[in-house]
Amino acid sequence: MKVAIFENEFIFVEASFKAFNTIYCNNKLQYTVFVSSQSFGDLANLENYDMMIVDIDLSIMSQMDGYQLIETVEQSQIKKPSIIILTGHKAVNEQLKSRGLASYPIIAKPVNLTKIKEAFDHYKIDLT
Amino acid sequence: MSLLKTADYAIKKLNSILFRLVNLICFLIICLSYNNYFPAYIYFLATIVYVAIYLALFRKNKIGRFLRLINDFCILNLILYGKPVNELGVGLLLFLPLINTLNHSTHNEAKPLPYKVCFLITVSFLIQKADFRINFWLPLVVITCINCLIYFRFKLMGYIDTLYNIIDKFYENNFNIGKTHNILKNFIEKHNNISGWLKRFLPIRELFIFRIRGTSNIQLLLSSRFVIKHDFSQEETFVKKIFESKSISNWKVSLDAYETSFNYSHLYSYKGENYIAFTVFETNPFSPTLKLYVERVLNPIFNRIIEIIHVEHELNLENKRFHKIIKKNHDEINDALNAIHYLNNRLSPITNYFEMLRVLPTISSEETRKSVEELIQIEKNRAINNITPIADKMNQMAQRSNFAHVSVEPQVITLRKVFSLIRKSFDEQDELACTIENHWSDETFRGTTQMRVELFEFVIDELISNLIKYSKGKCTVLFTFDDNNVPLVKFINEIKNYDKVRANLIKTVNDFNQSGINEILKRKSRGLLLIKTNLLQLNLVHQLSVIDTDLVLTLTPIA
Repeated sequence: MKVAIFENEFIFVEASFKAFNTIYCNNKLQYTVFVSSQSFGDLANLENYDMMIVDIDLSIMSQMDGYQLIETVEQSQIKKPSIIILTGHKAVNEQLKSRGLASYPIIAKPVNLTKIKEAFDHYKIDLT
Repeated sequence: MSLLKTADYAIKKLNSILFRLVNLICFLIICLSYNNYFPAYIYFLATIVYVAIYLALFRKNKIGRFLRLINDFCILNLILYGKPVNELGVGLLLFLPLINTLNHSTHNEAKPLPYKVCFLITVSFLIQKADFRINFWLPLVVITCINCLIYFRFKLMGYIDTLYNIIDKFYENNFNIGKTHNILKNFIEKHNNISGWLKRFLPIRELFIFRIRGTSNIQLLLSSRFVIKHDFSQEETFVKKIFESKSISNWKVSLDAYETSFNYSHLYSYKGENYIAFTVFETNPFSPTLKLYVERVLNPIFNRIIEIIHVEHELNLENKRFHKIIKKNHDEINDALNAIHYLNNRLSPITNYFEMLRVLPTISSEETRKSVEELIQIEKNRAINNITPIADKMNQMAQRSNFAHVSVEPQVITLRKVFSLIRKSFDEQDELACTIENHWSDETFRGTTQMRVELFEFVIDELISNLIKYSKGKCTVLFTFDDNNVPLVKFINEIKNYDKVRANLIKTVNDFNQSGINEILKRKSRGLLLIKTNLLQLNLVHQLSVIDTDLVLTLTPIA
């Protein structure tokens, strides 16, 4: 399973993802980390991923924040990957709603492997 | 209708009645003094008909005004018929309506040359077969001239009154702040609506108000038409000259694409600021009239407009000050959000470390367990490394919260001002019946204290919210003294359900009276915390106590 993670401070959550991958995914999760929206390049290539995990507060160095990134993906014609939001703000889904965007499962910071699993469980994906 | 026009209309009505009374008296004198052509009863009946027609037409405008005039001339001709109209004393009676022309009691303005009246006088002279003597026509000319001058005087007064009304209306309609340019726009509209002669003498096209910044920079403040760019040729020379002579005519100024050749600039100084009232004319105005007009008519109006501009300027400064406070608060919120973001990220390794420890025993595969144990070791080190930055950040935030309101500068204010601030806050609310009792003397009121006024107002408003929450509906604010004659303010609140809340109240009082905020912080009540922290910031001595069934907060406003 290919996952694109948009997170500019991945170092703090790296072990959580590794542990999740080891325990629940048999290390089959292939994730790539992007520190900004522009570091991904052409967003149309997101259709090559099964899932994208977006930190809503991407760095100010990023051309798009998490909301804009989700909005762009929602409005594009590509086959959309499943979306999970990484955030410290619990009211993020209300923000999405006010912007006319859909709701997505959230991994609330501080992150741990169980929170990641719960978010993945939302999509009922066979991780093994 | 303005006060001037209303009063003028009422006076005209009264004059109209008086004029008819004078007419009747004159008729009586002439009938008694000369041989009458008709029998007496004809005159008597004619007088009754005259009065009746006048009363019937009294409230009628337009056509009524003309019919009243015809009525006057009918009876005049009847009375004078067969009498020696060539005698000055009799013939002058025909000129009476001319004197009355300015009093034409309608809302329409009188005409400077009453051609209808002149025509009727001429016709009357023909009916009466009077000789055309110079001694008759001289009064006609003189009275007409006087009428013209009176007419112009009224017209000018009405014009000035109309212009002043623009400013009054500006306040009345409450479209004031930020729309002062409407005054100039309305000014041009009203000026252009004024008929004929004034417009011809003073063909005003546009009005502008500029502010002189420094020694040369001219800034556009208001204009009767939207202008993007203005350019005074030789700006520095212009500023120098206007400071010397106060007014300049026909300076070369371009306003967007339009270059004015006929203009008049006048300098106004108000509270340290220098303004230029700049009037643009269609054609070159007649210069003696211009000077008179600018000095007597425009100056008072521009002075008032400039006062309004100044008030707006002051309000803008006040707004900017509040914007700065809002910005600071906004920055503080942003800082807090960034801190939360920072803490959330650094707490991740710690929470994940414990989560992995929790999950570890449930893992059955030895290989997975080994990998996880390695991860636990890595996460443990990362967690340890993050504890110090987390603690530092939290301390930093705690430190910042102590300075949350320090930006409000303290100022020296009188105790009278303290009294006014408290009274105003209580007056502005209507949920609590509050009695204000004052024992302070004039001397006490003159005493001063250092106070952060906005913060103090905030505390009082917060206090009122709390009083309302726990009150029976009545409270007293007592301005009094302690045993050492130090001025105090006591807020005495009659507590509702006192028996039920007594225990909690005593605990609240104890917590509140502690020197710090630690005890109050433990409570759920945010209002009391705000009051306590801000009273500490204000450095005001404060004491909460329960007296009988009342809760009393005592403040010592001399910090």
